[in-house]
Amino acid sequence: MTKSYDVELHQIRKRFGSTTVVDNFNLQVERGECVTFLGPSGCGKTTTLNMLAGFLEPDEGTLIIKGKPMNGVPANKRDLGMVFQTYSLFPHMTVAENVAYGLKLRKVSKSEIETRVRKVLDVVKLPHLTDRYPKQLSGGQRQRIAIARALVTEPSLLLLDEPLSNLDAKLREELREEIKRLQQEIGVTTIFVTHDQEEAMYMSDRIVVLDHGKVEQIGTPEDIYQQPATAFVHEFVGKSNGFQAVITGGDEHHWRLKTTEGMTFSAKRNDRLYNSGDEVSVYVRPEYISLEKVGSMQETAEEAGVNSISGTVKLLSFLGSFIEVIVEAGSHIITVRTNYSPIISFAEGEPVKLSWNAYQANIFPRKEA
Amino acid sequence: MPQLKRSKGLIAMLLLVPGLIIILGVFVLPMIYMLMISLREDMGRGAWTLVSYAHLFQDSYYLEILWRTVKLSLYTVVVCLLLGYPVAMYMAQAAPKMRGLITFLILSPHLISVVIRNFGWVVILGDDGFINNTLMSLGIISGPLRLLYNELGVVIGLTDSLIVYMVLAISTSLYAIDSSLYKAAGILGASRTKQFFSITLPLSLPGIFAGTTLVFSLAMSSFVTPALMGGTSVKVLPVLAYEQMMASLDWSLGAAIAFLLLGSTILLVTIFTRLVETKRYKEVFSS
Repeated sequence: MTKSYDVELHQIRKRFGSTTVVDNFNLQVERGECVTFLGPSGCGKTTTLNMLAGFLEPDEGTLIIKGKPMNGVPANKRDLGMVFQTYSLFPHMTVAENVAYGLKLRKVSKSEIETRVRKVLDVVKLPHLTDRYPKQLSGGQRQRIAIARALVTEPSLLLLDEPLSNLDAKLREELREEIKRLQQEIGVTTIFVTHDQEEAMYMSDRIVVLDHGKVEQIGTPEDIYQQPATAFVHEFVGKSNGFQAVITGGDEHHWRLKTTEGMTFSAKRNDRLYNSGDEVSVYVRPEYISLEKVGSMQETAEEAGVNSISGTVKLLSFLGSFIEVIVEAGSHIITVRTNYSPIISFAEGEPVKLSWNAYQANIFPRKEA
Repeated sequence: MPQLKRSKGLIAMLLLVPGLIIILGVFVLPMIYMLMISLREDMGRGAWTLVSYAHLFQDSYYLEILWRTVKLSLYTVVVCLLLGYPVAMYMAQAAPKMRGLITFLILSPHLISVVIRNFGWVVILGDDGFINNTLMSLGIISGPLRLLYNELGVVIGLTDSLIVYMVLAISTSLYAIDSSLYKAAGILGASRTKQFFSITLPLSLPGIFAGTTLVFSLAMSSFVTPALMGGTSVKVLPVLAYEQMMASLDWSLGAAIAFLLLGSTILLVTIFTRLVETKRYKEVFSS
């Protein structure tokens, strides 16, 4: 116990009726860290946030904020800041009154309230809106005011419940940049809940990937993307080509496997051990697959540790910084992302060769379907 | 396109005609006739005169009864508000099934004729009624409490018949409050009580306003309940107007009383509206 954490979850469990919505959740968040709960709807991320906020009580486990056990402490005694998906500004109060609400409850003097409200509105760059009512503001402005309202009390922990989901794409990017800047400047410990993986990667120091109430992986955005701990994480975060396969053999570096469609290739060995005949799932990210014209000068020779298959281009999509190519190889449909180049262009129907390094294929035990 | 618009407007007008005829025939025309009766001699056909109105304003008896009518209506509003608000709050957060049940329960007294309902109250509140008998047999009181044929009886009767309007109006506006506002207030440090006074109450103002206006207007003009529950000692304007016309056969004075009632109700509701509809109220609640 040398390190002190701002948030500690110990074996948190929550059931609704007979369904376990959060199962054995353990997490330590350091001061100033931004941790994201990422997962599909129903994964337990919002339930956990609500338990942190004090809107729900965990059935089991301990919840500690700034060293103080919070089990049984009501929301209004936890000294937190929270931003909601639906903004949740008080419609009958002006912007200034909304922001001042928490300060008034803390019996801060009138003059200090005024100073702090002005200061925080400057921070969110909306100092001119003090006397407006929420319905006179745009969605982006409302959410900035909601952030100001959450920050003005200098909470020990900031909770963000999908704060960007109701905004359009352009605004969402703008605001997430701003939230990140504020979060780092102020250094407030932050828990961010989202189902949007890009948002999660952008915002977080660490990401907690959840599925069906279970923590699948906790790690930096890079870890989560490059070293997914489970098949679920690989599928949920980023794009993946997934193959169902059976282990046929292997050496000290690679596993040999055969897909259900009959293709054979190798994948890097990791800590897990398999026996011949084990059913596995293999994933390769689209950007790690290289695409070549058949019979081109640069066509690489077969080498150890490189998988290659041939196929036909089915669909090309230009997406700005890269092109997405859908290739049909036997009965596999494989997605490839490759940098856009005006020199090498592919045509739909053209035969191509796909190749990827064995170490870029991740292998997991087959999920029980 | 303009052709189509015009014919649509025409159809709308035509659809309004039956309703307009009914309102004109059974409401506006009789009102004009009553006004004539109050302002002209000889059942609205003779010379113009203000003698009935002069009579009303010169004799303090009538103004006292006006004041009593207003006072009893205000009491009723306050009691409906205090008793109805918790019911409305419970309704607003109840499951749809429960909400339906409560709506039925508070509407159910209206399934019975108002006369029979008031006789029911006589059985409960009378000197030899259920409440007095119970209290006396328990030895809490020695003689019967006067619960009927006084102002208390009228307020009880009016509350019973009018509280439904208050509850439905308030629950509608409570139901419209986004429940995440309570979460937001809670996390900012507001206790349940603070949340009620800073969020629930101000945001239910439109419901309170609508309920108050409805209950007040209906209480001002109610006839059966004050007549049966107030007896002869608690006279209110509608009862007085009825007596002037049907017992004293002074239609002119009766009609003048009716317009005094109408005028004061409109005046008071207008003043109340002005007081409620502040700049902020309009900014927040106008759509």
